[in-house]
Amino acid sequence: MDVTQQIQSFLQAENLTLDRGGRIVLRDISFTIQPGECIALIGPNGVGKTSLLSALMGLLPVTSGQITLNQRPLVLTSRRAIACAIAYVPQLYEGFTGFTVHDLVAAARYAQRGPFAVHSRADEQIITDALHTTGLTDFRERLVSCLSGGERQKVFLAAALAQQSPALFLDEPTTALDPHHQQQLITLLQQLRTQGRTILFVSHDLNLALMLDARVLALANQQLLYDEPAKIFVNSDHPQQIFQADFQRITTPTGQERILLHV
Amino acid sequence: MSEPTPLISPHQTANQGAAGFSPRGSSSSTTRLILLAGLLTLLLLTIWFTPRLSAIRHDPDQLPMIMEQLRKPRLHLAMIAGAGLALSGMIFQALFRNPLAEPFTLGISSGASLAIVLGLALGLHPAWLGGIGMMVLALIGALAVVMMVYGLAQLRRDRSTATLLLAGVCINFICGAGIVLMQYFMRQYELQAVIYWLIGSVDVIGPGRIRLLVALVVGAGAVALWLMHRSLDLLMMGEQLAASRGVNVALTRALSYFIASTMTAMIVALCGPIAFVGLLVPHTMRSLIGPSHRWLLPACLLFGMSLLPICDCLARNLLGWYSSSHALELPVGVVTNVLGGFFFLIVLIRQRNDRPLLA
Repeated sequence: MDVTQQIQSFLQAENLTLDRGGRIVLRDISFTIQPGECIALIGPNGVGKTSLLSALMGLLPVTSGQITLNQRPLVLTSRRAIACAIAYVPQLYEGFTGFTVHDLVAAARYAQRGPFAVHSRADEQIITDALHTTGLTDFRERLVSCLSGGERQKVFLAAALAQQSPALFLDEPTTALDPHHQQQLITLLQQLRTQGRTILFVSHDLNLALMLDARVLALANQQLLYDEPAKIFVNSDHPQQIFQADFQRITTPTGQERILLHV
Repeated sequence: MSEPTPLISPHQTANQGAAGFSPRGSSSSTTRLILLAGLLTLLLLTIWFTPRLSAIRHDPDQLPMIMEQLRKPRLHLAMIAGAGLALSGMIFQALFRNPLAEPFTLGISSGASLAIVLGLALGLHPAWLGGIGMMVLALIGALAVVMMVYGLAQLRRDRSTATLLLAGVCINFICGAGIVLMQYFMRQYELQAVIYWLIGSVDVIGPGRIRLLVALVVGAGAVALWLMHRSLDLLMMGEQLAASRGVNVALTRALSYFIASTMTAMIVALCGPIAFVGLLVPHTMRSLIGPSHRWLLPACLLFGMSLLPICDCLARNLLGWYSSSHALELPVGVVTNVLGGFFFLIVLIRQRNDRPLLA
């Protein structure tokens, strides 16, 4: 690998092998993420996308291989240092639902401020901004138990913004959302992308990858089969190979390419 | 880096069901401080009032002696035990992310009890090593149960009320069987002491330095847990999420389990397995002051310190009020069991069946 590329890289995976419960899910995966890149981890159900995402954040141990975050081995990086680099947007909330939206977003300040910090006015401003950005200002004191799936997703995005990490890792960000919330989320992700945030998301929505002009990492049969820009990916027979399904490509009147399932 | 422009949607207020909902978590710092001040007042009233309340008229000459040698030490022990049990309950509820978890329902008190009864049956004196020996035994029992219940929850990848409570019930059965077996081999006078102790009471005062030791442990535990309040909040939001936000989950979890188990074990060794204080106090406080441990912890501490002396005062006087002819006292465990049993039932009814957590 080129030396300059190595120095600049944000995250690097070398010969990763992952297993879940003794079964190998991914074998010998290698790729490099540069700062400011937008990556779509694409693949069929159960291929190990979420496992890979978790492993890249150090939440799941790897069977073999190495992950390097900001030129340091991930295993030698503290949880807080990882949190300062990567903010995670989970697909589902499995915690206690008696917290308010504000509580959940405020808790994300842990990454920057540490366990013993006093909640400051600067923190409060950052939280207010994050709620404002995601359109949740009116939801501030609402309980999580009273929110819909789409609203919860936005809360986690707000929390990730409040975490102020240069990278966002999202797990199936649009799967549970209605079109209205999908539109909001995609617009926000596009804005974040133009501001230079590194974005990595797991999805099987190829159009999301197109809309964010992402680099596609396509996984199938335990391997990283393709690593190419979304436009090239959808204009080849690669989606067919990855998903074992037929697709149709269309161009919208505004000149945007989209890919549809052909039934 | 500037944040993107806001995404304000015209649909949001229209269709997201804001109408008629009064958020519980809206209590600002001021209202929370007022609540804490109220709880402090309750505690001060308890400290002043409960030792003086008596169903029986005492000889005025003896009263100062009764106050100094019986009532006040008993009040102090009840306060310490109440605080420790309330905090233990709070921690177990946070770590298991389940509002019905507490030392008694999880079987931790039973584990500690079994260890102690085993020690007694093997001929150890209750005051072995100045009373500390029994506490160490209780701690071993408590930690063994914590590991069993936690292991089961991990193994089944399930922290639902059903799994945890059934695990607790099983452990209570097993430990109960062990205790009965030990009792079978005990002598009459030992048996009576063990039965009384198993009900749970705070009138077994013992030497003052043991109370001081437990008070110090509970106090130090409270301070340590309060310092961890941010990590505890995040753990309650989910272990993976907490880790992704930068929390050292394994360390926080191990420390909290150890602190809560130590407090429980010491209190069980002194007072017996007093049930449901650890359920009732954190639960009511969480609905009053919110789930954030920064506020919840002092609230639980203050309310726990008030509730157990109040229950004990009731237990001490109930029979006396009923019939003044005899001065029989009930152990406080009777009162907390009745109170907590009904409370538990209410929580269980209110909790939706399919939900692992109380919404």
